[in-house]
Amino acid sequence: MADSASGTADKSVQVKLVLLGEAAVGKSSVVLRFVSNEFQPNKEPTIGAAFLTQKCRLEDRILRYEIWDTAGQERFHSLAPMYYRNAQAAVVVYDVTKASSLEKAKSWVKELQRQANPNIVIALAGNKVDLVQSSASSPSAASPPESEDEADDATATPGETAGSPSEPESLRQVPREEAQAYATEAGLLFFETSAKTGEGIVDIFTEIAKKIPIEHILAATRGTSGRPGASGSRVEATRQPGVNLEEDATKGKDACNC
Amino acid sequence: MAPRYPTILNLEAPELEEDIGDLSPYLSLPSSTSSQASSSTSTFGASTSLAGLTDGELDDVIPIGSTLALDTLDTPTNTRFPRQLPSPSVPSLSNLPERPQQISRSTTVPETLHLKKESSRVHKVREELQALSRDPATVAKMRRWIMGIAVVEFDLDSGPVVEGIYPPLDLLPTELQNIAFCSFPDSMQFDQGSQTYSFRIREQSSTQLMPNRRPTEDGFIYGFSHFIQRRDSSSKRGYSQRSLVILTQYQYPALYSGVSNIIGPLFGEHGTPMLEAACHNIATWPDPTLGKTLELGFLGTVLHVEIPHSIDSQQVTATSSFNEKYDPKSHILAMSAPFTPPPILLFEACLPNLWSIWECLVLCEPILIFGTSPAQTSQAVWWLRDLLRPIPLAGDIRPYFTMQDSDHAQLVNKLPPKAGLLLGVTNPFFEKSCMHWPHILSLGRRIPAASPRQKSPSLGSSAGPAPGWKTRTHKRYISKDRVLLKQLELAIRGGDNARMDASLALRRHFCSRSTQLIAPLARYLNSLIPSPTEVHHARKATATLSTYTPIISSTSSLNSPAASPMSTYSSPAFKSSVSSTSLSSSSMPLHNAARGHSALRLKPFNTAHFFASLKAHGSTLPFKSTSKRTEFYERWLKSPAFGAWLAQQEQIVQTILNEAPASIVSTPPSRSATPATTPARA
Repeated sequence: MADSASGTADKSVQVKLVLLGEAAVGKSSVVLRFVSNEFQPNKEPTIGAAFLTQKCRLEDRILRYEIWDTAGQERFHSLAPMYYRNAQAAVVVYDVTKASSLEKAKSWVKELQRQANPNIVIALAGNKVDLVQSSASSPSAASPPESEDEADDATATPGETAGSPSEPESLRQVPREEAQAYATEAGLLFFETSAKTGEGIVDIFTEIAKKIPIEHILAATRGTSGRPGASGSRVEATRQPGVNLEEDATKGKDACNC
Repeated sequence: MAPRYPTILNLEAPELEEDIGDLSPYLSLPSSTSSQASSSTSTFGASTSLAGLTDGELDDVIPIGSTLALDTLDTPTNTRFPRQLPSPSVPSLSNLPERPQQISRSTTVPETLHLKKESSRVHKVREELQALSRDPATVAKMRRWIMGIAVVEFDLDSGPVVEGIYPPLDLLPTELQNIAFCSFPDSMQFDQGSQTYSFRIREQSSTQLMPNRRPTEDGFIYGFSHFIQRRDSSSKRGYSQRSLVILTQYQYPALYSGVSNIIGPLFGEHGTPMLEAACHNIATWPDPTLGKTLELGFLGTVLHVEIPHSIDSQQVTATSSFNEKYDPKSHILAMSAPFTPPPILLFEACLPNLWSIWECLVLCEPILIFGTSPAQTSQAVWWLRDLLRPIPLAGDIRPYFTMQDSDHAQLVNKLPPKAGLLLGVTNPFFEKSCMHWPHILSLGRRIPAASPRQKSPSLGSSAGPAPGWKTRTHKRYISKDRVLLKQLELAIRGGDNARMDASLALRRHFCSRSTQLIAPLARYLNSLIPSPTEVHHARKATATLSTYTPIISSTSSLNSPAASPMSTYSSPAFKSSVSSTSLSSSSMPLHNAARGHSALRLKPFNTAHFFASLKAHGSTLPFKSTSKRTEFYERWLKSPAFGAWLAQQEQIVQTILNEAPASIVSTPPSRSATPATTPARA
């Protein structure tokens, strides 16, 4: 799906995509997996934001993702608007082994729905799912965690400290159903992912590509290409176009655009 | 191209600048400027350190990017603003600027408190900068593109002061002072607003010993300043003034102005974390490889940038390197002048003179460029410098120059100005001190003779030369392009798109003329390249000599009397714009290309032969007459530009010739292969 960019002068559609989420949930690892199909344990924390690009082919079209991988550290929070400004897509990442990271993800979603481009396509990604899969390759619990170690993040990735790999499911703090329900309600695409194994990564970007109003971007007037691809289409609930801005009206304000 | 964030601070409309252009934030009266200038130089010693002042005594320290100042933005109280702000050199504590509002808290607080408060705020920036991370690997990668980002504040006692540079950069006190003064406009542009512009300061020679410092490319440091001024009741001056300055070793004005335009306003909003984010961002950019077109992500924006093949090659708007039609709004030709606002506006008062100006430019005539803002002068100087290509730059250029610059005495004195000097100034004082200069270009809109320039009565006599072109000596050699002139005159009255199109047409026209100027020389020079048989014999001969005989530029052996300037330019490709004093700087790259088959080189340039060739083949430049043509080339051959150009061509030819089988060529030529193939342009 996501083949690396060729040097041709193809007329591709530029899609600005921003990654948001709490520190150390694996945003940079998700991008690295998508762009280079690599995984680096113990990645350094991102400062500000990293910029990467990746070309993808979706049916007969070529999309070129301009990816802004933002820093999760709180001190960079106020910079986020300049990265999601005019973004057509966002991936909000949380860590399935850390309940608080989903709360942070929700607040990012709220901020995006309030302040970003109204047509932005948002995907929710529960990362580090490899840590909670019992049948996964056995040495996984002993191998280094994929966390972004960082100073102001007190929580290490649990797989590191949990002595017994026998019950990985116990590490899970965010039930899949809960996140799925939230995503459906908020009108988000939803995936559980592992940057380490690659699970779910390409799927996110594929589904985003399908949902992006490319015609809108191209200023062409053909109808949206609503044909879902055969593979990796996990989420049927998010087929409604656009995001619903009304549903979060009851939630508290989380102003950030200072 | 850098997007404009819709901020109410941006007051870049030229109309606004013009009406208030005469007002100075710290040089209150033009008539007194000369005395102030001399007194300000005497306070330099104190300007770099204010560490003696204590801080932390006040709880209500104003935070960076203070919202206090922002609050006042929404109150459009009085369109007038205090005309007389205190001078930096003579801080007059009693002379409070008149404030539009009534008694405010700030004016009731004792003055000593003001000082402490302000200095503690300044300290805060310094401390914050020091607290930022500085991973050596990241810093090294960032320095491929920029040297650092400086924060310049206004200190009541010392004037503009470099508060800090991130990441830490070793600069000498003189350099810091030059940066500080160049980072602030020396005339008032607006009440509240911002402005992006650039400057060029000389690198001081002893920098080799400093650990956090690498030598620059050409002996100069380039600064791209974003100056912000806001009303600030907590400041003694009534305003907070701050500049964020990108310091770099490259003369890529369009690129770095774009960068400065993005980061400047964001720094105003977010403070120091912004700098850290920016530097890490730049550290991830690909190498600044010559000839590449790059996509550079910067703080949420993507810059599409074409890096030139060499410092003297033209970057044409007919480029195909962006994979789509060149669009000045989204594509950046790194070496061009910034294209916003449309450069044609700079020359509104001298459109018919543009052909004379171009001639003076290529003949290395010194030109004083006067504008009402540093944004104007720097755009103009870069614009002119760009039109010179592919002719190498042989003089010094200063996009924005102040009286406080340490080179002031050297560049502006009683002597005739140096050849090729382009000096951008906004201070009316220069009109007097440069009275003996041959050419003055004053930028902006022509003022109708009937109505004298709008001035506030208190400002007294003239504040700078009236817009237009004044020359004492120059008589034009070539004909104007009347069709183009008509087109320009129409476009000036049109909208922004028409002005932009006309600006680009103007650039194409003069880029093409610069190429045409070179063409007869390139044709003649072609005949000086050793023939294949000569090459063959020379190689045979040198094959027996296994040593490389280093030869330096070989220029002294030339017959032409015009060759003399060249001996001072041993490597113009790298050291493109040195004035004679800094030539011996050890930062000059080694002359790699001169090694190898010493026998193979261009034959000597003979002036008489050249003119014979010129007579035989003519020139595509529309000279008014053949005698004018001869006069023009006679003058050009005596200009330092010719010397620099010839030395460059010799080096190229020699590199190519010695690139022979199994020879030791360490640097492939970075420009076109032979002198005859100067880029052809329509």
